[in-house]
Amino acid sequence: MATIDLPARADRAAAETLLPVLRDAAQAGDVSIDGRAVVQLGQAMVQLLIAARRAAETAGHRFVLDPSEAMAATLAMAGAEALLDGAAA
Amino acid sequence: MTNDEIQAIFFVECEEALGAAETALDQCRRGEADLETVNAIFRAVHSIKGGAGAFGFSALQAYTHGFETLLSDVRDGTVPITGPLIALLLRALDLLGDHVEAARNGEAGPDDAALLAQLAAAQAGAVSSEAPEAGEAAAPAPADDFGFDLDAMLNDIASEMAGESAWRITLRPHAGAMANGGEPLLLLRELRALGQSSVMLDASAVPPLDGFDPSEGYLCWQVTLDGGVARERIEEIFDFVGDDCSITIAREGDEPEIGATDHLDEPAAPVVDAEPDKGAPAPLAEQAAPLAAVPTAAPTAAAPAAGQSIRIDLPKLDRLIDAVGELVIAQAMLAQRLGGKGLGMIEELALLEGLTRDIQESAMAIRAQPIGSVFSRVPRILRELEMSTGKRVHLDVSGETTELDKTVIERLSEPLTHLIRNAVDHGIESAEERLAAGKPADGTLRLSAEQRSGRIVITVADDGKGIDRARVRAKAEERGLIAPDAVLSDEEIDNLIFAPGFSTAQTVSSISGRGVGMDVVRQNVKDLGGRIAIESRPGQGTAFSLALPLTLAIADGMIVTVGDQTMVVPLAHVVESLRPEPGDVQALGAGRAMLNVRGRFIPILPLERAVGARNAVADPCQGVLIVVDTESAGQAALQVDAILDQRQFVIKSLDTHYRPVDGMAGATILGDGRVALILDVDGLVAGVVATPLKEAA
Repeated sequence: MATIDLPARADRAAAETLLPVLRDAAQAGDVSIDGRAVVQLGQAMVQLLIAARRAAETAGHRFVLDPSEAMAATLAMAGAEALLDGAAA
Repeated sequence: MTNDEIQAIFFVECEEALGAAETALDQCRRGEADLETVNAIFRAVHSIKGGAGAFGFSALQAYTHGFETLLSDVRDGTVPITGPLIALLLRALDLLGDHVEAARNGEAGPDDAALLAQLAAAQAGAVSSEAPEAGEAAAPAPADDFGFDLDAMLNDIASEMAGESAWRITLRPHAGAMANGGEPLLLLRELRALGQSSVMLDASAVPPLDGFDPSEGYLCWQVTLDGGVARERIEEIFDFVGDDCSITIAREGDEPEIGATDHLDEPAAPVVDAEPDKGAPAPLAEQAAPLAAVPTAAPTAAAPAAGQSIRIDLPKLDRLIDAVGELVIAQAMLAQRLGGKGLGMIEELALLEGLTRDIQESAMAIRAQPIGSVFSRVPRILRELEMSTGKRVHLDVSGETTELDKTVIERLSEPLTHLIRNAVDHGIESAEERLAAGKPADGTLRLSAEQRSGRIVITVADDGKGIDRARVRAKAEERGLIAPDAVLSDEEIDNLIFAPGFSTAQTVSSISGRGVGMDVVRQNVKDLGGRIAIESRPGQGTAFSLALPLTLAIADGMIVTVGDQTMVVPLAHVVESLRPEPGDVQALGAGRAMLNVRGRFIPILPLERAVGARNAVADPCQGVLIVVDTESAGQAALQVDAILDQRQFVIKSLDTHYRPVDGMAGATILGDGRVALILDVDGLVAGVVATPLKEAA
């Protein structure tokens, strides 16, 4: 299982860096995202994670996200808590 | 816009936020708070926090976070509003001001650990106080005068709002919203902070990773927000967004606006059906298949939020004001030229004159700001004074919406601060003295602003002991300001406190400084084209009133001739003008004369010598005397040849265009294109006539 670390500032620049990594990882197998360092989370990263999760699930892989408190709060605020459901799936 | 410019805007917004929070907290203190008041404080702190995060002011951000956490609980009603809590919030606000200042100056933030601990304790204390047995650990009992029942209030408000259906706001950020560090999630967060809200995320437009562009916006949110929130508050959030987001704001049940909502609502519909009640987000898996009908790019034709205000760079505005000044002059020149050709009454000229005046007034109105921005800093000054002097002072503010030119407002804060400090330090007595004199232990400071005949009058009044005239007089004699046997009216004695270097404080205090204050205050006010007056009643208090011009750029004046010169006398100084009878003028020798104005003698000042004119009328009875009022030298009569006109003139600074000239306040351009000097009446009279106080001695 590939584990991908998110930086403290998970903004658009971070999303650009992460896009090719996630594209490969989602094809290769289960994806585990470590977001415990995230302080700031932006829309670009949220939508990238949504796309990555779909890609992984379409390919039949698991997608797990371990968020920091700040990241979980932002996801909840933005109505994207569903990204966290992977842990149970 | 550069980062520095954006940062400058952030600090301006911080100032506004601090002011708003101060005002709101003051309302709480007076027991006039409602849900909106608490919300206003929260919003203010929250917006500072948002900016602090964006600009990387981590100390400020951390502090605001601690502050906001408590405020959030206060807003939710889990922490009751009590007197001690308000006192704590005020202290926290002061420290927030220090934090902002430190961030602005690039310094390390102040030590906030103790206060943050208190904020956290207040939050925890109040929670535990919910259990009746918590006893000592609970927050201090609410003071009766400050306490109010937030729950009851919330219910009231809720029932009031019951008729209003909830807001439904759709927000679809485009690529532009995420460019240059923009972050749509911050907008969403702000929106949700306005009130009870739920959010529905529509991620159906998110493409597969292969076609994914991180700079595009693929998400759309539908926020359901408490219907009690004012529409302006929602629109405010999107003020700076422009076309970068598609936004629709509508009441639930209302027909959605045309265009944008058609696209936005459809993809959301299945999600709404899936979980209609909670408004919880649908599992992403259900959204996995994008609806074919959904266009990926959101429509750009969506109605942008209506902006309530815009920010303008001050230099830009000043250029506009300058140009308007030139326009006024050009119009006057045109009128004069046409008048010379017998066309002075043509309709087009009247039209142009009306338009010019309209433009001028509108341009001035842009620079006008409510004086409340200065007044809102006063509570903090009073709190600091209370700490250092132990005098508790109740503040009574009125007229804070009165508008003044921005420059006047900016330059007013220093003299006003000084007057306030002075009033508390010297005017208001200690609690014991007050009680002994039969007054309430707490002093009262009244701060008011009102527009009165083209000027703004600001009053700072205390209910203290009044000016101790015997001591002022003794001190003035000691300092050689007046002769021991001088006969002075109460008013003249009061005015002695404005003399340079005068101080009556028995001990030099750190608050009012070293007695260099009041003359500086008067100078500051004078520099603004204003006047300051004192009214003091022994045992009842002292009131300082500042009469200030509405603007610094344009003033009313009398155009006069003195020999071969044309001058302008600012109307603010003019009391009356007259042609004296021979019996009214009393010659004193050495070319000096006094004018008898209804039994009172005032010095006559022939302007010929003072302004360097030639061939002026020598006999006062053949010329015109203009009686003027001055700050430092009482009244005097300026002797001129004739008064030509009385009208508005555009003030041009001599300092910037030429060099400072003694006795001249500036210059203006007359209708015929000639330059006329504007008299500095105060300076001129004080310079030529020795101060009447000494003369009386």
